[in-house]
Amino acid sequence: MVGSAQTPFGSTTDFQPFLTGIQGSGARATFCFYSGAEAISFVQQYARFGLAESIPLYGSGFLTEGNVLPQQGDAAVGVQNTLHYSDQLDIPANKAFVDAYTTAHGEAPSCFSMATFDAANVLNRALGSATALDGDALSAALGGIGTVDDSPRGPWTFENQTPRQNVYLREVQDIGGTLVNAVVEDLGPQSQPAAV
Amino acid sequence: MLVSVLNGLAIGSLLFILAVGLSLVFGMMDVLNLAHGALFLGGAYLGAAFSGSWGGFLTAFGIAAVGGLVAGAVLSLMTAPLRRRSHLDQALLTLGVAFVVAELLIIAFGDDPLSAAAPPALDGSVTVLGVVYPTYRLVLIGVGAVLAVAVYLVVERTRVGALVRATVADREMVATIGIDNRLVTTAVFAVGSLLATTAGVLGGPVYGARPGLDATVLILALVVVVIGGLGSVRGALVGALIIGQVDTLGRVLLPELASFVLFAALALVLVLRPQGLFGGPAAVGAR
Repeated sequence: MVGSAQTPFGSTTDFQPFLTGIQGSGARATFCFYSGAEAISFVQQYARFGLAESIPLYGSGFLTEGNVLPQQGDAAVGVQNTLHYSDQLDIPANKAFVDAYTTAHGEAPSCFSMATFDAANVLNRALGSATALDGDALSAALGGIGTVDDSPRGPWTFENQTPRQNVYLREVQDIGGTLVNAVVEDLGPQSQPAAV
Repeated sequence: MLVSVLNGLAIGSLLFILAVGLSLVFGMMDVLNLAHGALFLGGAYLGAAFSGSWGGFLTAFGIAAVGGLVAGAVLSLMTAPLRRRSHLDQALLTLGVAFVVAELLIIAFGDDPLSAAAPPALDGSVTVLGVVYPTYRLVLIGVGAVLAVAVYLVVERTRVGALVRATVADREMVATIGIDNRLVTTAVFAVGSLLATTAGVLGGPVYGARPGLDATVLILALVVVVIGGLGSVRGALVGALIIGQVDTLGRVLLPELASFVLFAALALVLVLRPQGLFGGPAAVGAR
C-alpha cells in the first residue's frame, strides 16, 4: 500500500485533491469506501479526471449498490467491488425474490431490500421455535435457527450473532443499457472479523 | 500541483457566482439571507431533472433564472417588515424559509442523491498541462470570469450600479433625492437570488443535487463573503478565488488537516482583518 487518505465525511464534494494524490503516488489500484452522494461524486470524478483508464477502482460493494448506480452512469462501468449480495445472483431463491420485488416496486432490489427481507425471514423462523415472546427467548431462538437456506443472498448461518455468508466479487457492467453489478466470482463463505 | 491550482480556479469561479448574490443582498438590504443555499439547491435539482442535452440545460437555466427572480422578490417582501428589527429576526425568518424550501425539494425530487450531467460536448475530459481534466470545469472558469467582469461593470460603471452603491452607503439620502429605494432593494434581492439559482444549475455537474447540499454551499458562501467583506463585489471575487485555492491546495499539501484548512483560513482573516479583505468600516458599522 503506497498511501491512504480519509476524505472529510459528508462535506467533501470535490475529490480532485485526493485524485491528484492517487495519480502521483504510483498506486496500481485504488480501494475506497463510499456510499450515497459521495459514492456518486467519487466514481464520476474518478473517471472525469482520467484515473479510471489507468488505475482500476475497487471498493466495498456499497460504492455501486442501489440507487447510486444509475446516477453514476457510464463512469461506474468496470468498477469492481465485493458485497454479500447482487440482484444478478443466479440462484433460484434470488430469482424468485427479484421477480416478486420488481413486480411490487417497479425497480430491482438492492442489498438493503434483501437485508430487510432476510430480517423478517429469520424473525419468522425464530418465532416458530421461541418458547416465549420476550427478548431473551427470541434471541435464544434466533441462535438456533441453523442455516437459512432460502435467502436471496445464498445460504448463511448465524455465527456469534453475526452472519457467516458468501461474499461475491462484482463488476459493474452495462447490460442492454442498464448498469448492473454482475457477479464475477463467488468468494465463498466468509466470517465477520468480529465473530472469529 | 498545477492541476490543483487550475481546479482551485474552477471551484473559485463557482463560489464567486454563488457568493456574490449573498454579498450584494447583505450589503444592500442588510439582510443575511440564509435561504441562499436552498435557492442554489433548487437550481441544482432543476439541472439534474433536465440534464443530458443542451436544450435541457438551457431550459433548467431559464426556469432557474425566472424562479430566482420571483423567489428573491418574495423574500424581499417578507423581510421588509423586519427591516427595523435585529439581524437575528431576519436570519430566523430566512432560515425558516430555507427549511421549508429544502423540504419541498425533497417532496418534489425525492431524497436520493441525484447527479447532473454536463451538457453534451462538455461532459468529457481534455488534457491540460499533461493531465486529464474535466472539460466542464474549464468552462466554469470562463463563465465565472465573464460574470465577474459583467457584475463589476454594472455595479461600478452604470447608473443602476451607482444607485445600488448609493443605497448601500446611505439609504435615507437616496430616498430624499426622490428615488424609491424599496424598488432598488427588491431588484437587488431578486438579482441576488437569480445568481443563487443559476449558480445551482451551473454547479450541478460538479456538486450534484442532494438533501443537505444547501447547508454545505451556504457555509462556503458565508465563508467567502466574510473573508471578502460584506457587500463588496471585488471582495466576493477575491474571497471565492482564495477559498477555491485554500480548499484544493490545502487538501493536497495538508491532507490530514483537510477538514480544518477552510476554517483556519477564515479564522486567520477574522483575527487579522475582522471587516474582511475588502469590507469598508460601513459594512460592520452600527447600521
